[in-house]
Amino acid sequence: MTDLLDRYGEQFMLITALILFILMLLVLAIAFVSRWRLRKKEAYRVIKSEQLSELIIRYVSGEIEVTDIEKKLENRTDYILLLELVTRLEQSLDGVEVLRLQKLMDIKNNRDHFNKWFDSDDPIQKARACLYFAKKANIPADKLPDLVSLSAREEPMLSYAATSALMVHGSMKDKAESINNVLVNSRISKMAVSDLLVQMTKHGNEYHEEEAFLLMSLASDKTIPRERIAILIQVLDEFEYLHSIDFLWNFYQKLDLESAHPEVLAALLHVLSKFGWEEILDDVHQYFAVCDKPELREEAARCMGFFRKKVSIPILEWLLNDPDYMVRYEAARALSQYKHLDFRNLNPPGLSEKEWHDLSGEVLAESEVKY
Amino acid sequence: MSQKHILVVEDEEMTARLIVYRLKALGHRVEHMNDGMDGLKYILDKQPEVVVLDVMLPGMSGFEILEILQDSDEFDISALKVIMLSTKQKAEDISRGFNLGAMEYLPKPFKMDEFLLRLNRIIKQ
Repeated sequence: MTDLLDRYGEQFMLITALILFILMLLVLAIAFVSRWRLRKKEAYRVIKSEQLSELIIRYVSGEIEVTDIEKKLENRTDYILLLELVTRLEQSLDGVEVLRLQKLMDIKNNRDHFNKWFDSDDPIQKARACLYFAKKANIPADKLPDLVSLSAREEPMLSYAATSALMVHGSMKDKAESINNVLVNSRISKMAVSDLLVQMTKHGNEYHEEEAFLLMSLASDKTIPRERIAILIQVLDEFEYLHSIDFLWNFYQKLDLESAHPEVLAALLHVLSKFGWEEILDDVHQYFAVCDKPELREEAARCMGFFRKKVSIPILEWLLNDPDYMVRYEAARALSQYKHLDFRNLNPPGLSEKEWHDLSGEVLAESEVKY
Repeated sequence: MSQKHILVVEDEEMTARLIVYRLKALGHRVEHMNDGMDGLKYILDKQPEVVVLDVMLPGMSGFEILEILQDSDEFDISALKVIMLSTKQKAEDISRGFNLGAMEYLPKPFKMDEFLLRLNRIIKQ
């Protein structure tokens, strides 16, 4: 071995260095090519997006036909871009323009493409296909059971997209099952859940009776995580479905205030007081205004602002000294709702003139710029 | 319809493109800004005759733009015709828009024909 190294050592070193150099060149070349391809792809997206935007605008304006856009769709990127652009435009438009946009979703190649994705094993492609279905005016009925199954998948994007499609095309039973799946999927954000629930309002009747009943039955379901129930109650509030008041009040009365989830309590306090349910006020005064959870004291202050009862004034003044800023702020805001009070010059006990000046000033400034 | 100098302040690119396209097709001179600050600057500098103003904008909201214009001593807001666009449909938002000088308030999603009809109406006023 020593003899070999003595004789060929220099050549070994040279060959090793040469191999390392070639490898380095290879890595550099791969990095360069990847970067070039990425840039090329991005440049293609920009150019194509510009081109398709222009065509979609002209098509929506009735100047060109579906076939003119169809001719420009060449590959996967184009179909994704078309879906993205149509989705963005559709959010602002209504009427005949939306119907025209929906026709774009029915372009045969586009339809075939997304149908193929729906049948693929890739969850991202499946999710994109579901979002595509959500944009269509109608889809084959045999897709609905698959969408319900997909709504139960763990991948949040896929579950969300499948449920979104069912909010448009599913029966009330499909909607109930998929919403249930979404509610128990902890990987789906609160905002996404709320968004899906609100989507229901766009496709139900004017009074949202069926949807409200669904939300109420889900809220009573013991298998739904408690923090998700708060979202259901908040959406009932958004529906402004006043007939839910009995359900909400019964629901509230069955709760143990000490152990109930604070978000559920806050949501109930909010919706009950917004619906004018005065029976809640006793608990607001005696329990929530003095409880140890700042988010509940804050909601209690907000409730008192809804009712504007004289009996609440001393409690609100007391809350102006709360250690939590948001509680103090909401208490001040509630007091500003009392028309007979000289809010600016209230000078409540426990606060210096400057402290009140600053706090009341913030409330007044917010009411001026609020939208 | 006589040609007007119109500014569209809208951050949703596709919606803005469609509005600009339709207004240009009607023969108007149209500019587009997608940011509230840029929109305000353009109004103060170039003084368009009509502004199509979205409420929710990056930089500064449509309401804030109108408030600044209303408080400005150098700008005559009564000479400006404003049509507001917004997803907000609550009565208080609509009345706030009108109180700040908007002549029309169109909730999103909107029908393009209705938008053009209302725009035409404020142009004629």
